[in-house]
Amino acid sequence: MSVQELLAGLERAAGARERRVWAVRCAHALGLEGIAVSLRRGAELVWFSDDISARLEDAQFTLGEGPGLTADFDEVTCHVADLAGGAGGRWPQFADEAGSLGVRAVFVWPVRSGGAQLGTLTGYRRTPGPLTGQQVADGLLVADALAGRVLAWRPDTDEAGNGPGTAGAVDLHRTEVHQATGVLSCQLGVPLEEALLRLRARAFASGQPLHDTARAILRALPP
Amino acid sequence: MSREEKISRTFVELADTLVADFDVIDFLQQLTIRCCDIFAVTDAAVVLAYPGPQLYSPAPCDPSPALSEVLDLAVRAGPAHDAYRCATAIAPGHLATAPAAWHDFAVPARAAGYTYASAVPLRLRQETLGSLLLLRTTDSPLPPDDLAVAQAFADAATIGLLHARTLQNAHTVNEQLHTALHSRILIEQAKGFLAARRRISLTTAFETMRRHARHHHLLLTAVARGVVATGALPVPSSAPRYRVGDTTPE
Repeated sequence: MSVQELLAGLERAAGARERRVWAVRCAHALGLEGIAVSLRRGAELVWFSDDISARLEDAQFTLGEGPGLTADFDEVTCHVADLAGGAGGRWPQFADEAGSLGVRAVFVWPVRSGGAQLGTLTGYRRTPGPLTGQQVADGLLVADALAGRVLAWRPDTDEAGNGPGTAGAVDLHRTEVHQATGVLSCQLGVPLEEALLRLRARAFASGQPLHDTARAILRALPP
Repeated sequence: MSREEKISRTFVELADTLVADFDVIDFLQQLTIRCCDIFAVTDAAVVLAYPGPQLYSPAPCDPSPALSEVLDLAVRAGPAHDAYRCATAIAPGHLATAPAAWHDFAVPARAAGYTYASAVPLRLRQETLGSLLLLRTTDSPLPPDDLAVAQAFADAATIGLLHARTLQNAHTVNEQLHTALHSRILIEQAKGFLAARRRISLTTAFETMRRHARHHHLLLTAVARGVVATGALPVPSSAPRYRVGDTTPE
């Protein structure tokens, strides 16, 4: 199954179980054994294909070190093709923990929305070695397709509605949402990712769709 | 400058992407500006399919009010959509006699003052990345020769995007499309930030960033990043280009 076909299926993967099935397919399409998405520097694990992926994310968050926490959001990816080699030395405790899970290679793609650093997409393999250029590009495509959705996802829930009061997915192509995120970032003195969460929270609390909430914020600016 | 000179200059610009400070959004923005100038179209917009399947418009970053009104619809129906789906140029038709499938685009486009709409695909071998939409408000359609030149611009732009990746160590054109998506989002975030900070309109905020970028020879994306990261317009540390005593670096 191609990554483009997978992405078309993402539209329909509403429930937690479907998302997990989708995550497994996605991992295989990218040549990986498992895949996970965490938000807010690993504080919140929202999506994973298997237990090892979940435990890797937990290890990284608990230890406070690992490739996902050093990911540069201006770079397209952070690859550790062989954790047992020199590269793993940057995160000795994480490399040990990954090793005990049988993991030899870890690949991280930033999940972002412009300057808002939302989280990371992390995949692993039990054999060392780099990804192909195509796999790197496909992972980027998946990370971007997920960027608008992961904020609405919670593990083990089927809540994925887009109606009023659910805040729902962020349509990356709606400029008003990005502009309003910038306004709130300035007014509240918080980073863009925090501003986007606040914007979603306002939409949720008011029962308004996200872009209506965004437009209301923009109306307060000089014309 | 004659029309032929403008066309030649545009081809040179579209080919000149093997530079260290290539900025994909500036590049696409420039393409739309040249199209408006050379073809006497009122508005031009680039649309891309990334991450897909929905199309979006990365440029221009400062659409006219009329274009703003129709862009969201243009990516769902009409010539920009068809040129992308069919990978062929869509010759200009009058919006009043548009096919039924264009209805959701054609009616608001007419209401916004447009008369003729056409588009050419951005093609890359077997793949189509998006399209270039050309909108007129005049009584005459875009001449066929102009549509052919527009297609040549689109082809040159696609090749330019492909070349640009070599200096940026990008493996595939996907990475250029990724950069285009997030650069544009970042510019919108920075517009909002600067507008709130200075109590100015979003349009003025964009114009301020664009002028600042040009004046200091900075990339628009770098200016936007500076705004959201530090709250201020970034000034190049190595060589300040404004006069001593002038405290408004703009």
